[in-house]
Amino acid sequence: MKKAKYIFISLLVLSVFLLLALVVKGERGKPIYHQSRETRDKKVGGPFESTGSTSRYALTEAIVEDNTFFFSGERARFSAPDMTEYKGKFFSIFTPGVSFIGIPFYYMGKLFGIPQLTTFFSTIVFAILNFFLVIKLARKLGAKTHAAYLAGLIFLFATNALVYALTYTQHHASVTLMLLAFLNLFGERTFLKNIWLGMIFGMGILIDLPNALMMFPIVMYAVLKHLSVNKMAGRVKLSLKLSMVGLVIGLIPFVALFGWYNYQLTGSFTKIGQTIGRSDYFDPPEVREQHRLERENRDPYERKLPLNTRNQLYELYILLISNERGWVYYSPIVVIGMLGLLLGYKNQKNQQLIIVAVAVVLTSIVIYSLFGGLGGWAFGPRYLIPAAALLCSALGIAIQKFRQNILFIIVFLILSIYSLWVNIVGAMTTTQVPPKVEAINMLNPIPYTYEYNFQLLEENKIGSLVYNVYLSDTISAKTFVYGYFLAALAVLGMATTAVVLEKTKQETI
Amino acid sequence: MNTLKTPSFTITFSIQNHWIDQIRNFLEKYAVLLIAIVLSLVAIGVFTHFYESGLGLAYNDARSHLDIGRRVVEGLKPGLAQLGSVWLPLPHILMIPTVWNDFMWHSGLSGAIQSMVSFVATGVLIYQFLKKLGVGLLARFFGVLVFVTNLNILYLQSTAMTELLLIATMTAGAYYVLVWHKEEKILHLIKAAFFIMLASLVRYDGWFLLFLASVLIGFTALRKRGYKTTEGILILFGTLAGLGIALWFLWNLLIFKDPLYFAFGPYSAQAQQLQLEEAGNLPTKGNLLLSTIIYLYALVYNSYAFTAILGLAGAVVFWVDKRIKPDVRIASLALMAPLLFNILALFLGHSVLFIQGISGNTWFNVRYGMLMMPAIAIFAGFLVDRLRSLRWVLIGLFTFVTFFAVANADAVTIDDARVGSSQKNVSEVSGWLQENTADKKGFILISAASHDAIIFSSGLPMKRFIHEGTGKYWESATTTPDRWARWIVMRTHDENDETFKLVNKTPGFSRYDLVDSYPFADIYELRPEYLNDLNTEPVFGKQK
Repeated sequence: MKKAKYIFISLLVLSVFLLLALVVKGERGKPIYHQSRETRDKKVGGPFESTGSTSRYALTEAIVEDNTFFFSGERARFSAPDMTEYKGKFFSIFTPGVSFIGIPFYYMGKLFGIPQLTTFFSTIVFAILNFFLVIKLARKLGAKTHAAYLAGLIFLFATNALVYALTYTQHHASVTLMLLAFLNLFGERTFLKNIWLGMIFGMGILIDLPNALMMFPIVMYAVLKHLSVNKMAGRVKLSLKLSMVGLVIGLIPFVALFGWYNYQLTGSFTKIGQTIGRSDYFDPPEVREQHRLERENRDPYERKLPLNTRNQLYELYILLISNERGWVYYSPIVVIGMLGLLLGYKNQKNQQLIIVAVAVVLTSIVIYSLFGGLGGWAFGPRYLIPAAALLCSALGIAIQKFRQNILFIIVFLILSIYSLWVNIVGAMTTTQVPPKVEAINMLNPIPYTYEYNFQLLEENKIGSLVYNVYLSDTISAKTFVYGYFLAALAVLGMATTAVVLEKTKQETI
Repeated sequence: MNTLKTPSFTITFSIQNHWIDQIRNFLEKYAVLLIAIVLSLVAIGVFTHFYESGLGLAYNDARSHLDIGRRVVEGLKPGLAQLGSVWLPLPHILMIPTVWNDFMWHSGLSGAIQSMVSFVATGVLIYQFLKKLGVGLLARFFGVLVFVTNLNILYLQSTAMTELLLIATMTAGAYYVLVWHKEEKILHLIKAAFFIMLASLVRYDGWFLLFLASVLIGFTALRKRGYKTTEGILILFGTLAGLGIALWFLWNLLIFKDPLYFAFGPYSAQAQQLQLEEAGNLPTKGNLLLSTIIYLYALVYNSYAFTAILGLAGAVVFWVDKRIKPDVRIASLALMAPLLFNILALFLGHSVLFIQGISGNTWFNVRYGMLMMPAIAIFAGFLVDRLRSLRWVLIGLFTFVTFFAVANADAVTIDDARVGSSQKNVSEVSGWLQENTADKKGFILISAASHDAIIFSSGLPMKRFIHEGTGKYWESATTTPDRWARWIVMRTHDENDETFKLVNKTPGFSRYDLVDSYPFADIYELRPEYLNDLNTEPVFGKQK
């Protein structure tokens, strides 16, 4: 029995690796396009289609090639508009974490002439890590092995996590750190665990600033775990374990690194690219003039902070329901995760951690409903990928509980097949779905939902490296994507069947 | 497996139980006083801020309210009749003791004081309401916090607008309706009737509360005590609660010879709404769905989406909570009066509300959505009390969202007052009057119905103006303007401007020169050669 389980898991993991390999973005070149400065373009469907990726890649490249954090004119143009112009110098608008992590990958790729491919591979490494971390968390929350693996599969293939695994962005690294931080909460607090949590938190800030807010409930919970309140006769005894200092010790090196990085760029430890704002240096003169006039005539009462309450209702709609980016539209399967959280809460053992999970999910939703949920040109609610990871872990609990409830399984399958199909097509084509307001005002309007991805598929435009290099002459893109979908479906079906048929110890007895 | 052991240091300290009890008892005992003191300080601080930034008088209506109060005590024909029929009288009556003072009038403080007191009172009422619902101390304070940290509430409590007074009186009425449902003492019914009577003299929303409260009280009484007692209870309640409305009818009959003058007169809301309807600007009329959507948008913009969701979730939890007696649940419906009233008013075309981007490209009357804030605060407090495990998450997120709302100065009521249809920047024309008439003799003929904001902003005493409420001066000046008015301020060629309507065909009008023209009004001045025949002193004495 155990042997069968291991075979099943090995097959599943192998399938995951294969499926990820087949969807990696790239184009035919000599041997592969996009690997040198001369051949990198921002074509839709390619690895450099989004400036979220190009700006981070340019920083990695600048560090490795020229030992600098500043961009040359060519790199600045390549990164625009996600770059900042300050005191006559250009640099990335983003925090540097992703680019720092990419450095060894870039070096490795440089040796073989494929720096883009290997640098982007760092995100796939995080995606694979996330697959296992979701599984681990699901197990910790009460799901059995098969249900936990199914939860991991759902996260990786039936949410937009798949689409963003192919980019050089912060999303998967953020998920990894958030899940590691969450797993760190299990068990007793120790000095070393606190140092580790502090380090994770610090790395989170380096990867993306909102991570600090998203992880805040996790860190708060860890801090409060050091405080114990004992009611005794006539008095209340409060105890505070000083091992919580470890959190600060772990955090300091990363804050220092971030401060040093900022100092190199701006001459200030606290001044960061995002507060300076995007540069319009490469925009046409008339656009720059328009921006200048807008700045001059700015209403003094205009809301200045990046988190804005005025449109929160609309942004909640965008993030959760809309056909532009909404969870319900792009990955409705995550909704079952909410049921999982409810079920998990009923289990006394993990009650507090479930509350922390709810806090993280709610915090993510609230932050991005204030920040703006569209995320520019994007596929699905990209800012909610960390929240989706937590919900998928909780989904494991729901599957475990209702695995023999036919109605539940039917609903689960319908939602997961739909989510799987949408996100596979998204991953195969593009992340660059425009917001409605831009799409409908284009000279040649394009769809502002995943319909755009299907349109690209119809036009035989997909970004899979394997397909473009080896298969494009023999089969159509549609055939390839259908085949891919069927393979993913088979893996999902296999995992679901295993969950349904799995016998718990109690049942065996 | 060996794990690396690290030394564990712990700080331990004890608190005696009686200290904790003392703190808790202190808070329980003095919470109302504490809230009153803190909110009073907040009210004064926020008023000062908006006064200094010049936003305190941004609403056109705020200036009109202050002028109405002022005309009662100063002008060519002072007296209670100046309360008029456009708005219900209580806010202006409350100004009378202070509005005679020029600073109190022109700073807006005369009207803001009642808003500030109402703000403090509503904070206390929310606390008491939650206490009556059996909510714990923390959640009670949270409910108050939800209300007092709302920037729209904070702004309007700094102005001479009527919303806060309405909110306070309606919440007090709803509170005593609840207490009566719980305790069934006749004194609570009388208190409920008293506050609802006050609300009915602030805005017509209070009339709807009277109706709704009567239904709720009647329903409960009928269920528990039978028809006869219900009849008695309703007569007792209705007599006091309806007194204000009865007096208002009587007032209209005595002053304007028509008990329904306020409803159908030339300056009534209905008359204004008819104009809007003719211009195609009343899309909610006859459209219940749009009316509901528009009001809900106003509600969300005023309360902020996250807070509104907290309130909604709290209401749901409240309604399904079996620990809450059905009577109490029924009584709590009184809190929903503003929601039902405003949707109904929009649907019937008695009210107008513009939401930028939804109906029209501007804001207008968006502050109506703020009237649900006490209900939202109470239900949010209830939610935090009941969802113990998520309590700190909800409080934390609320604090987070509210911080950004305040830091970004996100107040839709300020936008409406600054750039929406509720504003009226008359500084140019009022500045002209201040500069060119202050040290000269002579009256200014102007329609208060159209240009109250100009009268207020000019900084001139009310007795310099001849307007509709000045009796014989108005009659004389609109017949022979050249004998009475040295200056005429009006919108030329606009028949809705009473001055233009009456003056433009008089022979005397040809003796005036157009001296300046502004977006809201034109200014005419009598030529110097006719000044000898001009009356510059009040000659009619005391008029009835």
